[in-house]
Amino acid sequence: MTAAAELFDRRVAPGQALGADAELVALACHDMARRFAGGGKLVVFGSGAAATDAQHLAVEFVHPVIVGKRAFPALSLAADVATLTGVASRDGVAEVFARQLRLLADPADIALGLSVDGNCPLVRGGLDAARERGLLTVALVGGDGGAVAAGPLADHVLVARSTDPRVVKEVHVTTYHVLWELVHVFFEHPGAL
Amino acid sequence: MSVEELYPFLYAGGGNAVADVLAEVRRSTADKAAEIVALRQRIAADYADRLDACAAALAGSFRAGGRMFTFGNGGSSSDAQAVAQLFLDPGSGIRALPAIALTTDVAVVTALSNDVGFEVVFARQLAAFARPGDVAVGLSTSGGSANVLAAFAEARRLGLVTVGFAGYDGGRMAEAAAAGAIDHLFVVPSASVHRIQEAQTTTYHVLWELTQSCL
Repeated sequence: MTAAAELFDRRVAPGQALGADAELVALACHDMARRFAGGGKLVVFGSGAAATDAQHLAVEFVHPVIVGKRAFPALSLAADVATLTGVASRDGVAEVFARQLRLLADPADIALGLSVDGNCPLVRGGLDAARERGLLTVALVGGDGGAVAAGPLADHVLVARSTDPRVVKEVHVTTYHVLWELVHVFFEHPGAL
Repeated sequence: MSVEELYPFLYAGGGNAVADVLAEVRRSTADKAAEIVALRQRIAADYADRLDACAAALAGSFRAGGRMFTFGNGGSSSDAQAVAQLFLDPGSGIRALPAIALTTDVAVVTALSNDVGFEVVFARQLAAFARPGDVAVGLSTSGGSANVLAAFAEARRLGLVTVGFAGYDGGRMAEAAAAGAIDHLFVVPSASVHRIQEAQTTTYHVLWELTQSCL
């Protein structure tokens, strides 16, 4: 087997594991759809590579790729570099999402944090602030789930079954694409909300 | 494709109870997971050799002092940023390489869009920053983004190594590759924007790891 083939092969089991977690994904979608139906918005955050996922997830909901799908309000907390660096330099980097969340989020909203090992202090701070305010909290993590999976930080914890941060990110991309698509399915069946 | 087409069961009458929808959503999740696993395996079969060749070219560029520039729109802009971030800041103990996403400076992007036009936002930045031997990486699910194609044309003019990621049948990026404007083109053979992006993410992760092995 070539090196490239081996690298692709490393993705098979974690990809299949997402299918095995379908029940957890469905339940998270259901709760997210109910929050949107109640007027909530989606607030997304992650650091490093996961910051790009936060952006991607927000644009997914705000500007759907499927023509005719409704736009849902979604905001990435990883996009405003002035605020991120301002908070980080004054209050410490662990505060960057929590601070924005306390000011920009409402109790009816959804907080979604991404961390490849579940230990990112910025994401933990964001989820913690979200819980305090009464938001629905969803975490996309990897590895053993880290502190996020161990603690009471999130209502829904979806764990990508890999310790390779690149593979975890790939499973997260599929997961949030599925979350987007299936939130619409619930939303379009008001009896199921 | 509409949700009605994707989930005909839900629209067949009745079937509005929470349990019914949950069951359908569960099944759909499992189907999509299986779909992306199969798609990745197909790309491994189609592109393993070409990824090796591309990684060798990228390693050659970095060894000679080259830098990487990445670009794309929408979800692909976040992928462009992810590619640059992966090369530039891969984690402790891993070789960091110079890479810049052309999507992140909103002042530059809006200035060029407002003053000249959105088609030039990446090409003009390449004209300003790039040197012969640098690397240009462009992503477009359709293969038809005008500003991505313009950037590849500029990259070719400047003598860059060019790498493209597209979906469907490759669209105009496939034509550009056939005409010699894109050296390494990876087309994800899917009609789903979502599965294309997921498979592209894997493909650039694999390319990065192979490049690291070459250095």
